[in-house]
Amino acid sequence: MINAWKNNLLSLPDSIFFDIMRNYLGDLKTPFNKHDLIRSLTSMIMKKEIRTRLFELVDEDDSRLLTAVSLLKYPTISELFCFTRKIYSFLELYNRVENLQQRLLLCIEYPEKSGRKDEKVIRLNPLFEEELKSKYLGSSLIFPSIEVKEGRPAQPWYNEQLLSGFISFLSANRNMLKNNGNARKKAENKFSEVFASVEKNVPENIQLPDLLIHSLRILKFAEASSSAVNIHTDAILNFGSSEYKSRMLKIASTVVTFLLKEEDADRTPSIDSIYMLLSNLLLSFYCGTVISREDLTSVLYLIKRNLLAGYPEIGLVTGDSVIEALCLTGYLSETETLLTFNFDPDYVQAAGEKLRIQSNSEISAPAGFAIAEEITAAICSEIRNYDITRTYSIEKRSFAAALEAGFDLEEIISGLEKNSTGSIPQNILFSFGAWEKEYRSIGLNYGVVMTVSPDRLPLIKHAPQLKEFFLASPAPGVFILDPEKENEWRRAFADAGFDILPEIKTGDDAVTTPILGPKSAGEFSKNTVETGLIDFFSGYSIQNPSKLLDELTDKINRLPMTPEKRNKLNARSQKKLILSDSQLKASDRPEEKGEAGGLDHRAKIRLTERALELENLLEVTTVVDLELEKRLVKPLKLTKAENALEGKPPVYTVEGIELPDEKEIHIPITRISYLKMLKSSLYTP
Amino acid sequence: MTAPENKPLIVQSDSSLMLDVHDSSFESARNEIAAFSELEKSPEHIHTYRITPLSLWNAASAGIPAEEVKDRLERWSRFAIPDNVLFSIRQTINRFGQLVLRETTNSDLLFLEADNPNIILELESRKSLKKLLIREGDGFLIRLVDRGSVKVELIKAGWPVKDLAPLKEGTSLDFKLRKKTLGGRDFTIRDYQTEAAGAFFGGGQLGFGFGTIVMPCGSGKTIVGMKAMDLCRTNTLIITTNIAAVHQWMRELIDKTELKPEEIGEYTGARKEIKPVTIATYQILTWRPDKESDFPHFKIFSAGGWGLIIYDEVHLLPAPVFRVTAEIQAVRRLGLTATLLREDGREADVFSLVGPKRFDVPWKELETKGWIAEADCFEIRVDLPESLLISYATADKRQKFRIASENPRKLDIVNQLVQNHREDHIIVIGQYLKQLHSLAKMLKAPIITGKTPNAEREVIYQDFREGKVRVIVVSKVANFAIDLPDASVAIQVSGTFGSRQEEAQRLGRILRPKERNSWFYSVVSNFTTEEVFSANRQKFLTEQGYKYNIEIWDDLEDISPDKKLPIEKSEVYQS
Repeated sequence: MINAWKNNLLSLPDSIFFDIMRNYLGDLKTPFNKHDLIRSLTSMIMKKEIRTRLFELVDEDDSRLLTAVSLLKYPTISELFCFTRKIYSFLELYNRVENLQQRLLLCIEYPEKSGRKDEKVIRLNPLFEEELKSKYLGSSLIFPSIEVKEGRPAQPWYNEQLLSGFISFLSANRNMLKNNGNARKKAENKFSEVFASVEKNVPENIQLPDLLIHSLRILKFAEASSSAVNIHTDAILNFGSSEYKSRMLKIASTVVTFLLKEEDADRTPSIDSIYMLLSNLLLSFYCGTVISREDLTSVLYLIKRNLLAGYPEIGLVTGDSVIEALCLTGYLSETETLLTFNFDPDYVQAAGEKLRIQSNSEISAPAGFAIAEEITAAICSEIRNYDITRTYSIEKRSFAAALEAGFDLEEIISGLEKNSTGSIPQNILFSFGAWEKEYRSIGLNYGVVMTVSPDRLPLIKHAPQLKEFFLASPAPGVFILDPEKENEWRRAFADAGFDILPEIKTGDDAVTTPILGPKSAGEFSKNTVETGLIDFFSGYSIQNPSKLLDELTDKINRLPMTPEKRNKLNARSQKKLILSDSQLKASDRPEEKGEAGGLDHRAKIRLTERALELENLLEVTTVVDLELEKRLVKPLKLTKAENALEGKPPVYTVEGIELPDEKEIHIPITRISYLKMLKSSLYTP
Repeated sequence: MTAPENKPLIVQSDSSLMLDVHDSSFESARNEIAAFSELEKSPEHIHTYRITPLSLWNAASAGIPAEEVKDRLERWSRFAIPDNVLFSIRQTINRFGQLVLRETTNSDLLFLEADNPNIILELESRKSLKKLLIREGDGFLIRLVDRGSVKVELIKAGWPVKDLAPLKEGTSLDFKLRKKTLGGRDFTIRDYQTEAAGAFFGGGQLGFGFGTIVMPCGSGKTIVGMKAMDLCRTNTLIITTNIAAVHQWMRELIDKTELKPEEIGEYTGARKEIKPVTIATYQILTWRPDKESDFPHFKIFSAGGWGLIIYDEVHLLPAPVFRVTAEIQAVRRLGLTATLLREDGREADVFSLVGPKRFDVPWKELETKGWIAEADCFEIRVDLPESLLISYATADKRQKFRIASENPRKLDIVNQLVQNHREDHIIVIGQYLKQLHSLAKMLKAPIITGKTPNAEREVIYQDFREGKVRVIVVSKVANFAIDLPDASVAIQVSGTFGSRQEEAQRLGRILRPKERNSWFYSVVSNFTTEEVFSANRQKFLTEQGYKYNIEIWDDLEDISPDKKLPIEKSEVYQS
């Protein structure tokens, strides 16, 4: 740690290095040996009473800024400003950071490990980092509005139960989509009936079916092709093997990508990056935490900032879009400007409850039931009502859809038995067997070649409504049908009493020409959650060093010295730069004037020229509408122009860029009421 | 975070209530929520209730405020009550009492008092009420004959009426229930029957005396009717489904009350008697010489000084009778039924005109308490013979159903079932006369169809009751209101397509309590349209908690006639 600090000191520009040394060690004698000076300084600040004084002088503002630096993990001054802009102006922040650097609490460096070469970053002094973190940093200083609400908020409504229900709906309405990807009117109406309890949560500009289809696609649960939807049950079962919080976070991630897609289809961050973002966000706060929107935006900034190294595209995600997605889906709820966290990662699902299968062919799925446990029921029956408890109805058609999806009878029965209370009623088991036999009694193969079992053959062969569709019958029980007329002959079969015909097997089960494709967001590569991108500090307790500073001022005022020197000493004391009585001596070294103001235009011109020479920054104060306006300016040029008034001196103008926005400015020297030169150690153009 | 609390009730956002039967506090919860919700279905694991405006208004009229409803729900609910449900409860209940119907000094007019001028404005703007309401002061005058119609229209508009206009007392009747029946047996009214009648009568208070009682077949709705008569003690008109039912009522009244035969009149096609207690059929009421004429027998409604009208099997209330019912709103009226289902969807009208549901009880609850017989339900599947496959394949839908229903193999099945139940009294029920005649011939059993004269029917029923015949074959005339106390097996060979009501009524033929279990068989042709209709028919009963076991009987030679149950039990059809 000492070496790290030493190296940092050695990397500082001379002007800053020697300023620091002079402040703590007094006037320096030539020849200057930086290593000796560093040794002397180190020896000084390692003394117990000096360290004690150092920490005693840390007040709330200091702690706030130190906490921000620590949370952001090597921020640049610009990033620190983004995070604290609600609290400090850029100039104020700059001055404070400089002060903390001079007080040896912060270091400015070029950390190669962050992969950010040529950028000056700010960090806690490694010598004091541990102690600062344990006692002087407090996240509540950055996010003051965090509190935890009493009671149990509702869990997010956009969850795996909703996906289960929707899969059931899709399975029963496989042709719900038109070729253009929009839902058919009948299916839309039916959807609204079944999902009335949640559809009201969605704003008018979003179609819930679209969102759900998107989620299923991202999770690889389903794909749309032409006007049919294919369900991938193996992906669903695989999803079910991960833990609850991971599943919920993945589901939430799909919503974020949906909204981002809506904004800009060409620029969608990877799903993994969103997943990481949400993991760190939603798992860093207790369920019931209430936080202001502003603070949550800051937290998101923090997380994004810390994800950038691994996921550079995370910068495409705005805080607003994340908050919108989470509010939409119930992970957050918003009242006025406050947001409540509704997600409990440790939620105990269903508390031992299981499916209830009843003789009236209804299946009830309890609240909080995992998708992997519900999926068999969802696919082999049709959702009737989506609510806290989902109600499914076992129908021949939905059972056939399950067979079509690749389940066989044993799998369906075991999937239901495993996940339900009690046994499956006999009438339902019987029906399953009968339906399975019926389904398998007819085969449809590419061509279309239909094969019929002997026991069904008479009914099919003699059905008058079917005869016109048989192009040929090359063998007993084998018929050739026209693939172009598939809709017609399916209707005719239904009319003749054959309402569950299988799909035509093509030999190639891959779904081609997907019609609804988001820009690929990639795949989830993680099955567990990873957090730790933000730290929370709670060691802070309120400190007020004003008494100490008053004592020091008293001491200084009693020292024999000129008023000018006393003022300078007091100024340093107020900046908390005095840690030891050994510093209480006025310097005899002539100091370069770093300020000018009022009508001393000449001094202002000289200061500007000096700043240009040293590449320092200027704090420029002007009067606008009778109010003082301060700016931090990087001067680029001092121009001189003839004065239009005869006999008057030339007009000097400071030209430069105002920080942090780098806006061009031109200020005549005469308009500057006060000018101060700052060190430019923090700013990188 | 801990799991949701283990309570039996889940309140859903569509105002349905799911009640877990297996929870230890199920009964307590049920008793509390039944006061403000309707039982929709009660299968074996989860009962579904629904909070409707009507159920809430009923609760309000029974003195239950919105806060109490909320408290009861919260007491038993596993999760937080959805906000929209609480809002709806408050808003709906608060509507009750804002419109009050009161008497006036003019016996032909009533006064509808509205306590909010905005309501008056709203009602005035409704087209459907324009002809019915006469603006007066802070309300409206209503003609007495429009009482029912106004209430129906107001319910549709979302405004319940607190009906405090007194009901006509009718001519007083000296009516007493016996303690011992005429046949010498002890006669006590069961607690649920007393409760049902009490819920209807409401202690004689204003706002009661009109309503519907829904109870399972075989649970003694006739007794409830008699108890209601006991409470009202007034001339009573009873309207029922057919002459056999009329005679059943008459028998019951004589057997269980102190009414003399000369005090009971029959008003049917055969006789036109008006007595202090008169029993009529719906058919006679809706008879008219031609479509243009009036219904001449409607005058019965004003003929007997009735203080109580009982509509037996009220779900069958014919549409023409609605009109009259609307006009006789000043009379106490009681509807009795086992099923709420109507083909024309006018259940709400029945409840509006006759009265709201005052009492219902799950079928299985009565079975558990022994008040109705325990019944095992079976569906026996039998293949169509090969010889019929082609004609079935080439038939249209209607014909397909008929061919499947009249499957000749069913005869053997029925024969086998009758052999299996040698000690039981059996009814064989069907739709198609040819099939029924074949069965009757095979079984050497008497047959009752629509053409069987009433006198002959009575003789057959009597023989059946007395045990002189063990098996009878009946067409759908026997669906309703037959008193067959000793029938313990019903074999249904065909039915009216997918009629759930018919299935329930037929099961009801064997639900009267007895010492042995009852058996209900439905014989269905395999892989035919009959399967689909059968599944639909069974829906109502499975929703009442009955389970059906489905079996295939494909080889009768393997079935031993000595066994009560069939040997061949294909519980899961093997492919």
